[in-house]
Amino acid sequence: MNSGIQSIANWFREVARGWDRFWFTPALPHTLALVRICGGAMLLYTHAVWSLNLNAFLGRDAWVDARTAWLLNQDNQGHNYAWSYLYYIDSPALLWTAHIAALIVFALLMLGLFTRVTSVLAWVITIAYCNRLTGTLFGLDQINAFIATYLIVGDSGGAWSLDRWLAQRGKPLAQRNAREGVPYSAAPTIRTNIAIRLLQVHMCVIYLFGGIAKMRGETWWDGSALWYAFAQLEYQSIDMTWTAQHRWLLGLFTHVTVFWETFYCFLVWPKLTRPLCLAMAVGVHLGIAIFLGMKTFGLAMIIGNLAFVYPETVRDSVAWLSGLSRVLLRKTHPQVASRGSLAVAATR
Amino acid sequence: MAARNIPQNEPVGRTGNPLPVWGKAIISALIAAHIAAITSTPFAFACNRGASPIAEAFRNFFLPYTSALYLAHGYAFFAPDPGPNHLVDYTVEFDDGRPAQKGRFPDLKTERPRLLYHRYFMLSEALHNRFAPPQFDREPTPPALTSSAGERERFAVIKKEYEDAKTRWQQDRRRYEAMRESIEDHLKRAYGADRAKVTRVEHRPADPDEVLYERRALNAAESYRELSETPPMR
Repeated sequence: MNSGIQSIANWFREVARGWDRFWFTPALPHTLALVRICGGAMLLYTHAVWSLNLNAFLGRDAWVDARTAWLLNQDNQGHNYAWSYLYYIDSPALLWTAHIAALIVFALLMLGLFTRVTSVLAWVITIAYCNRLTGTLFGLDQINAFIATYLIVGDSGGAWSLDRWLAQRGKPLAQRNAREGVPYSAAPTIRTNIAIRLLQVHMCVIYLFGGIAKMRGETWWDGSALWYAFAQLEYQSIDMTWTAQHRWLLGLFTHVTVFWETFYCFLVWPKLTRPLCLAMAVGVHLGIAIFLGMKTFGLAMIIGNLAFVYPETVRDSVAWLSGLSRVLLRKTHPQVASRGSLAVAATR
Repeated sequence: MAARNIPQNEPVGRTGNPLPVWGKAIISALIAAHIAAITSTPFAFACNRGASPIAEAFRNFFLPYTSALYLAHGYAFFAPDPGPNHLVDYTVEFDDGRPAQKGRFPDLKTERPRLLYHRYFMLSEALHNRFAPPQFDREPTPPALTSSAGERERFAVIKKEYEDAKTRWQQDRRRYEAMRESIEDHLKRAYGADRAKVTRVEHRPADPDEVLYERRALNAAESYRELSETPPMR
């Protein structure tokens, strides 16, 4: 009896230790910094595109005007939790002012300037746009929103940011690092780890329920789903109708997609299967980007998958790429390389 | 790898003090609640959008949080099946004698870049997804006077479910009408027209056999059909 209780107590202790290790081990900021740069660029682009038709989507006489958006966001009890300051902006001048301010915030986030403040502002702006623009949104906006949410949790400006560059200016270590090409950064922190873990878990939730939803369909089982995705003219960016002659190929990719998506949440954690799982993610999302006309969504999902790359790997890969680019630059433009070496290193 | 030759990085910032146990406990509780919240909506979607009372209660509990943070999504991309797409045809008319103008969105020729086109595509899809027919299902027929007490009790439950569904339909219909009117108002102002009318259009993707053996193009006229605003009552 005592040994039974002991075993149960040990099990709980192990679970607590595992939980502690998973969430509360400090992590280097490089992965989150890369997510900030790529995610910030995506936020900037996504919102810059609204500029092309700003009044038609957010103005007083928008396709879905503010009053209608409010009504669409109400639940059946009449509550609307989908807040947005954009419901209340009526004047075109004020709308443009707020919009340009939003673009500046996204640019600053991408560059990593005043990151603690700009990450919070970027999150507020992203959610406000999503909540106001109901009826015109898709998967891209869902990914943008949760990336913006987790960027405020961690130290996303801890590496490759103007914040770091400004903080390190004139410090001996920074000068040495800049000379030697060492990518300097902030120290590992728990909050950076929590941000990365939340991103990882959220990606797993998306893929799990995406897989379950597909499993309820017929075409994902009879192997024709990929065909029907390709045959949607409104999505198509490259004519893939030639695949009608190769149904085994369509069937293979259909089945692999649904199994990979459903089991992503298991396969992405072990070191053995993680690279394969991520390679598959890159393949699937590049496929969506290239063939189904959703470059932004495909890239946003790849940015989300970056969360599973170890920060040390990200740091070393960027250093290696940077070294390679310097070598190439030295060979092709020796004068530029000698002038710019310090500046190049300092921006990493 | 070149990275091996790079000297060990020396962190410049502070790692910070390790968290006390109570701090970890609070953060853990918040993390657990957040993860429960982000799974609540896709779980309810997976359970036939509210057919399971547990899934619906779970989703509703977290709805203020997930709605406020734009986290209430089903994540059912191209699921359960990649189905037909929906477009919007519109006609605007003028009282001053100008000829009526017709248009359709989304339109890849005029809406560039692709992301802007996709916004129009989602607008037409959203209008279709919001559609609720103008009349609701017929009321359930009450049991005969000679029916048993059990049958009458069962009918009372059915009647209650019918009334609840009718209330939901009224709200859905109001939302659909509001969205359609908003789009029509936008068109009227954009064209300086006196009247605007939108029509939902369904575009069915061709089967592989139709493409392979009938040489049917994906934009074949017969693959488009106008959707009725008044489908037959059930």
